[in-house]
Formats: sequence, structure tokens, C-alpha cells
Amino acid sequence: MKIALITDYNILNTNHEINSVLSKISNLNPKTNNLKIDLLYISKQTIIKPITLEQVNEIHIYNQIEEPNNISNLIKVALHYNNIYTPDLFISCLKENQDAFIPQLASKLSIESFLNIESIKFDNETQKFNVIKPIYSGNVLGHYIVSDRAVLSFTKEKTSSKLIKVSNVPIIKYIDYTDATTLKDDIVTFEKVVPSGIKDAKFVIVCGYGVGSANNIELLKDYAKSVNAVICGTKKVIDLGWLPMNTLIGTTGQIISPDICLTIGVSGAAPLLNGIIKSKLIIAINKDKDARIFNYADYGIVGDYKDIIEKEHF
Amino acid sequence: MKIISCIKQVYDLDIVLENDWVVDETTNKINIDYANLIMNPYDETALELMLRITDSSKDIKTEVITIGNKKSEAILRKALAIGVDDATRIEIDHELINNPFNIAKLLHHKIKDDKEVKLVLCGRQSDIFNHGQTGQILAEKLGWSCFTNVFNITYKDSYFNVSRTTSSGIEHIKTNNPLVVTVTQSPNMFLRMATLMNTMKAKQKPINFISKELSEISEDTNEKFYNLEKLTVEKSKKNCIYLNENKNKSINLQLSDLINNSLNKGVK
Amino acid sequence: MEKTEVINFFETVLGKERVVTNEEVLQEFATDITGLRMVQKHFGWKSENLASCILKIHTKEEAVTVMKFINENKIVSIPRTGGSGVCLGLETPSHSVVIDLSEMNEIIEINEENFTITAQAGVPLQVLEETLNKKGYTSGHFPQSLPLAQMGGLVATRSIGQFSTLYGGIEDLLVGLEGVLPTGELVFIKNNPRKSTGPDLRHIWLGSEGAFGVITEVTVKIFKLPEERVMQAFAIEEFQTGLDIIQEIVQAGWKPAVTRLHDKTEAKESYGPFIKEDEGVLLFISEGPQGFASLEGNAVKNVCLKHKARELGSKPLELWLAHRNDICDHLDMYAKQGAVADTCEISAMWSDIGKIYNEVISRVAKEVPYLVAVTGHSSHSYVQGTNIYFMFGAMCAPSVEAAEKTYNQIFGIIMETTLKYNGSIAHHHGVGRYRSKWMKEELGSSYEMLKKLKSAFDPNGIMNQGVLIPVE
Repeated sequence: MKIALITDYNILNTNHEINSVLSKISNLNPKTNNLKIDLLYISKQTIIKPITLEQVNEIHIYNQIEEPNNISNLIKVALHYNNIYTPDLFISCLKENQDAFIPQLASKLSIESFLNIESIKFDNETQKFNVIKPIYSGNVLGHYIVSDRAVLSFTKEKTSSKLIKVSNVPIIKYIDYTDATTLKDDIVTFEKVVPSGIKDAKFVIVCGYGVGSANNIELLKDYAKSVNAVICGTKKVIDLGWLPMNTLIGTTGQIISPDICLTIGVSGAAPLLNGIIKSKLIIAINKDKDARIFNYADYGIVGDYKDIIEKEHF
Repeated sequence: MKIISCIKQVYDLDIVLENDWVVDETTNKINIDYANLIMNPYDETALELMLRITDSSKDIKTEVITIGNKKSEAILRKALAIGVDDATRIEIDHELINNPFNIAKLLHHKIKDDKEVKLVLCGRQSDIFNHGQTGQILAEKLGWSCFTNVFNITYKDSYFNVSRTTSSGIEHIKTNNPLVVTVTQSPNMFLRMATLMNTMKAKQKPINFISKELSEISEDTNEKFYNLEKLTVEKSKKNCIYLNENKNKSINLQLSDLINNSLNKGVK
Repeated sequence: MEKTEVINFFETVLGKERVVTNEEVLQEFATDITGLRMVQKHFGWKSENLASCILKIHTKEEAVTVMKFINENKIVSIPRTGGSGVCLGLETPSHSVVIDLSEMNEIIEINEENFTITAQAGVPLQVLEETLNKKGYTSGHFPQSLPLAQMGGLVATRSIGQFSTLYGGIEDLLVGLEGVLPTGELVFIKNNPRKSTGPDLRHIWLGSEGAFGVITEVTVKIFKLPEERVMQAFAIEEFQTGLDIIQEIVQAGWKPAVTRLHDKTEAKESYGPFIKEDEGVLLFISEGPQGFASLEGNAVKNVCLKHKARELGSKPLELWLAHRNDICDHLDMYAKQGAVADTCEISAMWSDIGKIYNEVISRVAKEVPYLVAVTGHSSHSYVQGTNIYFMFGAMCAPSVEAAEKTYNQIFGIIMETTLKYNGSIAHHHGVGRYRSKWMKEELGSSYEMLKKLKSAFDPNGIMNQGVLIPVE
């Protein structure tokens, strides 16, 4: 069995996203299935820092690629590798562009593709992969039987899963690849706005529709500042324009796992719950005692948040 | 020039009752038949973005395409009532509809020969299966560039200006065309409403109809992809501890203690 | 008297922090949540008429002092609690003073012997209901404004709840109260089960909309939480058939707590998958002691089946219970879609209600150019008649400014048609400043009584000037 992880410089720089993927595929029984994991490393730079991913067998370095983030280049590299090794699975560990890269590579290869899966298993009886991913807007999990090979990605999240020690030193191969495109997919100008670090925040306050208004969120920002927390919002709050797009928490936004997640006026729809459920501690404040959020919170306060959050902020 | 919005009819999951998220053992399905059929919310945003482009450039033609049964013409009529020029429904065997490759294949077949089309908008994903791939596969088949998670798109001087979210922030891109975008939610981008008069008029408008077997379109063998074996509902509910006002300690003090203790623990 | 003098006086009585003069807050308190204002606010509307200040009252003694001062100095004042009015009843004329009782929010007593609860004017209904639920009781009062409304305002606007066909409106629930007259006297109406001691003075306060003084404390009935609940829905082909069914049920003596008839447009929107094209929906909840609900439920079912209504089971009711107050979220939503939307509820006798419904729906559809939809439902029924709750939406076209014209046109058609058939122009939202222009026609010769009451209680005409009786 062969699995190819695809990554770029951005990710390798912070190993933990690859480690997270490695931990999620560790249940594929590497020993019994004779699992081989290759890492496709696509970069502009020639030299990379020492890699200590001991679960990985081979690292294939496609360097000197002018635009390693360009989807066409990613696909070309994957196809190049595929022609030689034909892996059972391609797993994306990319930070950007994977939403487009995964289905497009699958389409080229005429194999299945799954975005944001929860987990993967290998069924020894049928010799097929089983993939679990959220469906019905995150209210339900769908268990799929992969018909053959597949391209996939896991839900984006920060985890600290433990890796199995296998004491293996990966073999590094430098691939001489010159067929990369240098045109950015028809892009004329490009500007990037990077938000404050929601992912790394220890304390996140998630505002729901129940906070009442954009104005109230401004007041909550003062409170957040005083307790060193980052303010985020639910789908509805973003839809209403009370908070910017990049603060969206949930299945279609950021998945977070801070030390504390304090939800205010959040009712607890499934997509939002999926975004916060991995938090170490969830505290919910809601006027409605029957709000769904209380089923998933460690601590709950039934009442008006304005009476509970330190008064001077209101 | 022409812009196409691909829309789908879905169940309104927002009204489903919490207790109804249960898998029926015999049918291996969730019974949500009582939920109304609506336009997929991401498609609504995409449609509104399309109409806002044409609000300022009147000479751009617009079309909506849906793939589904006769019932799904309701969303096409709605689109016609709010000002879309043309509507097309593509019929497909119900069994095959939940595979984004099939959908993209049909859309590609419809769009590929129309040289007027410069932009196709798709919602980023739709219920029930949330594959989130149709737009990207369509772009690959058309050989056009593709931007995902777009929340705004405007047209100026023959370029499209695309704003989208990525996991590390927001990107503003000025791009050539043709292109495909997949649309995510967008602040203050609610689909306009139709007046009763236009709703009545839209009922009389013709809807193009295409009925083709997938095998007539291409020889790909991915028709049967996405074999859904079973559904499960995870109920890992916690035992929530409720904080109450008490004589010794006010509720806001209890809250700040809780926060401070947890943060300190986190540091250790 | 100078504005600064006025504010100085209030500050000495209440303390600086309880006399609010912040312009943003005054702007927020300048109106209520009337549909027209919701859309206008969305497009940047600001009130030109701001109050001088908002007074946060904490005790009845403060209320007395404030009212005396206001009366002596002839200052127009607007009593207010939850602020969920929808008839412009809370709009502040320039230089007026808002008497805000929302911080008088203590529940004073739950009397389990006499089945009453006494609460200050600012107790939110939701808090009151949850407090009662914990002890196994209910107020039986569930207006759509439940998440916002407070006790004083509910009495002052003659509120009604979704379970009214069994429990009644606030007029049936109010036992006694305490208030301050415009001239500063603190008055108390004691709690009695019934009495024959002249006119029922509670009715001066019920629906007074702040025009006859401020309510500081109320005592209302409580009920045991029902032991049994039967929920059933039916589909009908004609709206009139639905009205006939309800008429037969209530005239037979049954009182299903929830008795609702939604027309075909509403039925499709909320219960589409349950029904066939163009069907309306009837919803019933029977509740009460064990045995009672099932008995009533059976009777209701028999009447429905006799009229060829089709059974839909209890699911539509489960959905209704879960989503019945969602509308509070949607008002703003319509504005964001560029539409003006609101509701308007009227009542009439059984002989006329169907005619009003038909005429309003067809006239609005025909006459309003940018109409999106007009729908109606009956939700509160009586032996003599029922209400219709109209809901409408129209695009703010050709311009945002035109929204007001469209709004007035639709309201005009509803009011005109209702009066034509001797209906009442307001079933439970009250009159406010918006509907006061139709009050003369509404009350006919008895309008004189209202005017006399007003001048007797409020000789200076300062209490919530403009509600009930328009300023001439």
C-alpha cells in the first residue's frame, strides 16, 4: 500500500499539520498492510531544513519550481509522481488551494476525491478504504466505501496527536522536474490580507446571533482585549456583516481548538459545533435554557451575557 | 458576454428538529422529508453576486442551470422572477445526482460550446452530501481557472475582481476570464426578492430542458463513485455544569475564575 | 423650563447614571420595531425627534416624584419597558422624556394558594415564565414578542399570546395592579377573583399605552403546567372551510389552546411538504389535565373530518413550536433584501371575517405594484369571531423613499376593509401613533368616551402624547 502526502514549504516549516495527517493515517496498520508513505515536497527553494518525519519512507523533493502554490503546478507534479508510483491515496497537506487541487487532480486521474474527511480506515476483508466525512451540513457522518484509489484531505485543525515511533529515516530523492508553469492562473493582480491569529489563540470568544447587534460586538471586543481573547463569529453573524469573513468559525470557516472557547448568544447549529468541539473547555452563555449549545458545553450560564460579562464593558 | 449560475434545490436543514437527526435503521436514511425544498443557500449568494454584476452592466446576459427533477424548476422560476434571462434544467437519474463528477460532466456538456460564457458561479457546496467539488471539476474539464471560497466578485474593464477566503486570510485577485468560481457565504449578500407580478410573469417563461444519458456525453467510468455505505449521528453530548448566582460568589466572578484557572492550566 | 434644569432635577432624584442623555441611546429609544422603521433604519434613517433624556426608574416612589414633576412642567413623556411595540407607540416627540421601567424587574411573589404571580413592570415575560416553569406553573401567555416583552408593556398594550384560545388575552390574566397616574397619585387595584363594584378599573390600564399613566407592578394568573397535550394538524382546500371548522369547534364549547388557520401561501412556505398545491393548514393544540386534552382533541378531529379536512399528524405542530418566534430574526432580513415587511392584525365577527380576508388579499395583490406577498392567518378565536393576522412584504421600489408610500397603501387597504365590515382595526398590537388616525372611525360615537377619559386622567395631555388619540 502506498500513500503520497503532498506538501509545500509553508507546511513543512511547521511540521504539525503533517504530523496531524500522519497520526490520522496511523490506524491503517502500517505493518500488516506494508504501508509506504511518500512525501511530495514542492518548493521554490533548493535547500530544506532537516526532516524528522520518521513515519515517512521517502521524501520526493520537487524544488526550483517557480510557483509552488500554483494549482497547475501541483497537479503536474502529482501526475508526474503518479506515472511512476501510482499511489493508492493522495493526501493533501497543503495550506492553500487544496479545495481546488483535490477534485481537479482526481478528475485528471478519474478517481474519487473527498474533501475535509474526519477519518479513514482500511477494511482488510474487502481490501477497500472506508472514508468518514460530515454530510447534511455536519449534522450526520457519511461512511463511504472508496471504490479504488482516491485523493483526499482531512478537516483542517490543530491537534497534538501522538505519533507512533517507528525509527525510520526517510530517504530523500531530488526530482529533476522542469515542466512547471510560470503563469499564475490568469491572475493579473494579487493581494493578501492576513488576519490575526485565530488558530493560535488560547482563548476564543465566539459571538452568535444572540449578541444582538454589531454594536454589542464592539463592546465585546473591549472585553476580549481585557482578557486577551480573540473574537470570532458564527455563520449568521458573518452573514449579517457584524464581523469580517475571516473570523468565521465552523465547518465552512475555521476549525479551532483553543484552551477556552466562550460562546455568547450561540444556539449551537451543527456546522458551528464542528468548528469548536475540539476546544479544551467550552463555556456557553445563552438566554435560552434549551439552546443546543448546552449539550456540548462543559460549563453553561443561562442568562443575558450583558449581566454576566463584567459590567463595565456595557 | 454571458454569466452562468449553477443552482440546486435542497432540503432546508435549518428547520429540522434536533431530535430528528436519527438514522432510520431499515432505510439507512435520515427522515427529513418534512423540510421544505429551497435553493441551496450558497447558490443563492452566487446568484445574487451574478445579478449585482449585471445591475451595473446591463448588456451581460445571465442564465441559471439546475440539475434535477421537474420539482426543481421552482428555483429556476424564482431566478427568472428576479431578473435572470434564461433558465435550463438538466434531467438526471436520481441515483447519479450525488456524485459531483456526474454533475460537472453534465454542466460541462451544456457550457463547453457556448463561447459567450465568461464566468460560471457555483455554490461552494450543497446539502445533503457536501462534497464541495462540482465547480472545481467543471473548471478542470473546461480548462478554465478556478477560484474557491469566493465571497465577492465584480466586473470592470473586462477583468473580474475576485475576493476569497483561504485558511490563512483573504485574497483580492484581479483575473482574466473565462473562469469558474465557487461561492461561500458573504456578508450582507442576501438574494433579492421577486415581486408578485414578476413571479407571475416568470411562471409563463420557457425553461430549456436537456435530457441526456451520461454515457452519451463521455466514456468516463466514474458514474458510480461515492458509495455511501451508512450514516451515523454522533451524540457525544457533555454533562454541562451550570453556573448559578450564589451568595458567596457572583456569577461573573465564577466565570472569570473559571477562565483564569483554565488559562493557567493551559500554560503548565 | 430649560432642558438643563429638567435634567438637573432628574439627576438629583435618580442620580446621574440613571438619567441617560447619550445621543446614540436616545436614537435607539426614538422608535420601536415597527416594520416600516426597521427598513428605514436599515437604509440609514435617523429620528429627528429625540427625547431629552431617558429615566431609569427603580422604585414606585421615584415614579411618583418624576410624574409629579413632569405634570407640573407639562413635559411630554413616554413610558416604556421591553420596547417591542410595532405601532410607533414608543416614538419620542422632541424634548420628551422616556420613563424606562425596565430596571424595575423583581418578581415580588408567587402565590401558590391563590395561583397568582406579582411582578414589577420591568420583569421580562420570558424570565417570569421560566421562573414559573421551575415550580410547575405557566403564565399561559406566549406572545411572539416573548423574548423581548416585559410585564408592564404587555398590560399597557392589551397583549395576547399564542395559546389564548384557552388561557385568554392579558385582560383575562390580569388580576390586580399598581400604577402612577399622570398627576402623580400612586394607585393600587387589589387582587380579587371577581367583583361587582362599578366599572372594572383594570380596563383603564389595559391598552392604555402609557396615555393614562405608568404601570409599576402587576399581578397575573398562573396555571399548572398541562399534564397532557394533544397536537394535530389538518389540510383544507378553502380558507373559508378552515374558518367554518374553527367556528364550529369554539361554538361547541371547546377551547384548543392553539387554534390556527394558515392560508395557502403561508402553508406552502412553512408546511409545503405536508400539503398539496393550494391547500391551507389548520393547527390545534389541546392541553390541560389528564384526559381533558384527548377528549378535546377527539372532538376537534371529528369536526375537521366532517368538513373533509385531511389529517397531517403532529409534526407540523412540532415545527411550529420550534420555529414560532423566528420571525423576530427575519424583520431585519427583509430590509437586507430590499423589502419592507410587516404584520397587521384585525378582528371581526364570524359573519364578516372571511369577507375581510378575501377582500384584503385580492385588493393588496391587485393594487400594490411592488408587492412580494400578502398572506393571512387566524390565530386567536372566540365564540363570536376571530382575528386575521396579515403579513406582507413589498420591494422598496422604485426607491427606498417609496417604501413608506407602499407601507401606508397596504395598511390603508387593511384598515379600510376592516372598518367596512365593522371589524376592529387592532386585535392585539395596539394603536400606537400609527393606527391612531383610524381611531375615530373605529370607535364611532364612543370615541367621545376615550377623549373624556384622556382629559380626566391626563389633563395636560402629556402622557405618551399621540397614541390612541392623534395630536390635532
